[in-house]
Amino acid sequence: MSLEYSPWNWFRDRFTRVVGLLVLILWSITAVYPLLWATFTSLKTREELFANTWGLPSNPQWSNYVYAWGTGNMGAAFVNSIIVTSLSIVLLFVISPMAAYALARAEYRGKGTILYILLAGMYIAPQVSIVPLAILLQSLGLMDSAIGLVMVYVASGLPYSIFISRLGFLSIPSSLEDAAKVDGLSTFQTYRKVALPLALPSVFIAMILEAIFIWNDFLYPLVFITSPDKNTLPLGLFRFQGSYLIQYGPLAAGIMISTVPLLILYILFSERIKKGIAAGIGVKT
Amino acid sequence: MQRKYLYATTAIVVIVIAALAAYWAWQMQPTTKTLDFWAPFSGEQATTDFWGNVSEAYKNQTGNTIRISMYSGDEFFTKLTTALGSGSPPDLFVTYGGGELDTYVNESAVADISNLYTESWAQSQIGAGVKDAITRNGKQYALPYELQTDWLFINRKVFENANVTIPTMDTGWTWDQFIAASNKIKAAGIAPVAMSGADSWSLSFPACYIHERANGANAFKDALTRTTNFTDSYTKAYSQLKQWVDGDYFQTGWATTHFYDAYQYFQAGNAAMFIQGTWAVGMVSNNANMTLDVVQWPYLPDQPTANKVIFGSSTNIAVAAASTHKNEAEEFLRFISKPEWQVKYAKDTTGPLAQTVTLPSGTYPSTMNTVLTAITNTPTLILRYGTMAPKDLGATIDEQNLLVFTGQKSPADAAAAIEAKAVQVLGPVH
Amino acid sequence: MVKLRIKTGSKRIIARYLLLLPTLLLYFLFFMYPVINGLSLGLYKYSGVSQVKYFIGLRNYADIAIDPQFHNALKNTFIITVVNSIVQFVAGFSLAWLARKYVRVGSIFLSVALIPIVLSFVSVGLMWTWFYNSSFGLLNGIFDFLHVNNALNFVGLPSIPRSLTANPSTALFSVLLTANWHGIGLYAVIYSAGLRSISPSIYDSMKVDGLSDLQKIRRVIFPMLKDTIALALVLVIAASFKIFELVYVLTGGGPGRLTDVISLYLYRYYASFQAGYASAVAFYMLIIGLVLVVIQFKFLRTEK
Repeated sequence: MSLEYSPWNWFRDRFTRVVGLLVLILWSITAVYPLLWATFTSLKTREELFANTWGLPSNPQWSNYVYAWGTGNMGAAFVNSIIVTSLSIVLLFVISPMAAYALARAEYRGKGTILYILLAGMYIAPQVSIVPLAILLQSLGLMDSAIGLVMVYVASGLPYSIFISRLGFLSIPSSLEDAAKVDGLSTFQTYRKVALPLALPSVFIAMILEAIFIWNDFLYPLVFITSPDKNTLPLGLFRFQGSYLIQYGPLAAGIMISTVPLLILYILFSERIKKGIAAGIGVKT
Repeated sequence: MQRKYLYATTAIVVIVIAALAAYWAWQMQPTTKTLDFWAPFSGEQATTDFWGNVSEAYKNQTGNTIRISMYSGDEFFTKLTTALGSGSPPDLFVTYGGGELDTYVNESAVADISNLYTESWAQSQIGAGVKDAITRNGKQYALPYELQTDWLFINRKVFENANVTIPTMDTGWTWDQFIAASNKIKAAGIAPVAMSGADSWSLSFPACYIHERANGANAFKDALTRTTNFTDSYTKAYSQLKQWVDGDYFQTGWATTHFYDAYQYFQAGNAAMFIQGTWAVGMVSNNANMTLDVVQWPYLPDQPTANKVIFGSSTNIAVAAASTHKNEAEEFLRFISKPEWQVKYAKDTTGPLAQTVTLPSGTYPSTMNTVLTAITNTPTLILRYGTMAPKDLGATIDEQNLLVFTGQKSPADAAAAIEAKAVQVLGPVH
Repeated sequence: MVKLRIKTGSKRIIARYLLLLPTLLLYFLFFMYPVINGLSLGLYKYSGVSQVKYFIGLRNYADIAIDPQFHNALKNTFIITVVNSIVQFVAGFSLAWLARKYVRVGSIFLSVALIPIVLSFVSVGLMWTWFYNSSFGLLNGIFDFLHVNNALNFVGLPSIPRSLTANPSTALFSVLLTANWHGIGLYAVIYSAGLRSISPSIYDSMKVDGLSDLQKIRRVIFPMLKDTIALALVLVIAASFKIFELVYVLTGGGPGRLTDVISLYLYRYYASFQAGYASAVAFYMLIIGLVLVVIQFKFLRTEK
């Protein structure tokens, strides 16, 4: 041990330890509390919410959930959200890693330009293309349809997914790819058998983040879905707001209905997610 | 091995397409006619219930379905604009007339429904005033349904507790009396006025009245027709407004409070006054903390008290020009104009009717009757300025209201901004 | 042997283009084409409710360039982007470091850190509106409980205003606080993964050197995690630049226009029959976005 380990050092280490732990614990609490609060709110009556805003509900009003699901149409919205999100993710999962692989290591004409154009898409706000997209969808007969939404989400999700997946492909040692080439594998086979399995964690991360985005997105369904029964969850939430009366109980229930599926996904896959992030961040040593 | 994969990929793609196609087909099943009706209404239960009831009755009678969707403010216009612009509009939608309707008519977005007005029910029920509001070039383009006017609502209990005299509808009160009352209420620990800065449309109500009090009833219209400019009248109005705002008479945090929170504040007895349209009557309920009443907007010292003006607008329903169900849409308009539905609307939602229908006594609460009497006694009903102007100019006025209210722009600069926009949209003063 | 020869060269190139094909098709049809089309609308006075439009050349662009409200929105967006990037980097990294150092508590932390990001911006905005409420808000309750204002006044500082979202000096701060609360968890997890991917031998060797934690981090860890940091920065910047629902629900751009951001500015014009003008704003956003991409490539080298 170092001779310089004076009482001052001991005190400093203890102090930093306490502070460090405190920070972690406090942050964990703040990360969790709002969701807990939403749960409590969803089980209170309006009166109780104003009387006892921050504590536990005394008399759980499950009726809020029933109301939200049925009258509030969250049930239908839930199904619609599942359909749109899962179909978008499936499509993205099939086509974006392919593109990410093609844009990873190899050099060929146009690669740089294509990459630029794709990544620039990450910075474009959705409002930019709303009117022309609406006209386009209308002319294709895809307005007010799940297909239309899926196409839009896939197209706008490509930059993000490709960006993240690509990092996964870049972290594969090139020796593996060379070996595959020597073995006589076609590009596609190399992709499917060698590259994709190794880059899968990155792709996985991209898919999860995209899924969260699509599930929670509000603007595209607002303008492209006109039939009330085809609303997705974020639009369904709107119903409880109105300008006049906020029905807080059902609104919070709606928030919970919108969030729980993602939470379940998260709990199920949290290990995978962390592994994915780790693998995607290939460290260059 | 390669082939297996090929099969697998093809299978996935086929399944995805099949799923989408099935879902799409399921949604596309043709049934009897379905019409869409969009309204920028609230989620207020009584309103939602009423429209649910009437559409169901309509379905029972004709077999056609009316799907009613309600969205608030900006969402409504974002959606409606996109739907109209892409050629897939709802069959029926709400318009407040004024500049908004001008745009719709000029760009052929709404259908000409003058034929409805030749029918006997329309001739007896739709008065000249509300008919004019939706007439352009001699043709009618919407059906008036509700007539909203803007008032200074008060909580009698708060006034009484603070020992403040409540002005009657006939005498009204002067600006100085209004400020004195506000000071007294403030001293008693209650916020004089509940404001909702996060919903900037609500700021236009006091702004309109102050402008009219400061400049007279014709000033805005003259500026709109480019006979005079906006700078002078709005500098005067905004200076008066700023004086009022600087007195700090609004509840804490009003600048980012939404309309419904301000309403609740008022309902709970934490604010003495609430400047709103007649829908407030249906929202606010009398209880231990609240007795709702309505008073006139105060008069400035140099204004004759006999000058009575009310601001408001009619809620109208238009038929989209691109609608493929125009006949059914007009049928629905006829249906909801039937006296029994008009009466039911009045009773359920306490919304003041735009059409003239005999109402059984006791349909409206007393506050609404006070309002209705006042409307009958008032010679001039002015369309809210933001509605009267073309929508883009209206948006600028709205924004300048907001900036002056929150002290982010001086009265002179705000007035100049309005004039600049007016020049751009309407041309210079001539 | 012959097979081997054919599989090189041009066939590989074609294969790559084929891999890109579905992406390019969808991307151009449903993204680029509408975007470019939309941008062209900026040259018109266009209400958006029909096909009627009047060509006015660059007038919209000029009006936007001189509009003080646009500058205001631009300024706020810029502040939000910069602050978010710094905070989410510093806080995210610190939390990741702490989580690694104190493993048991750290693992609990890591398992809940991603919860905020799962919530939609609308939900987050709605909840935080309640937290910030001036009369019964949670934050005010905590401040009162801890006698924060008393402490502040004691040292001569002003009290914290009752309504953080409505007070001009704290409004933007409240938006930043909520936005960062939402986002930090993701970056903490990303950095945590990055830290884990560094081999333990590096950590061991650092211990022997006797350097303080901060020095260790700066001199050794950062260079190794350059790519991770670059990735995180790109994600934060792209998201902050486009921020919309959160501000809309929390402050509406207010008080007045003090927390206005570009996408809100655009949205308002679109909703007031000024779709041509809104498209021109979108064009400005695109230009700024392209600049950001160039910066990303040049300085962060994420293409390698």
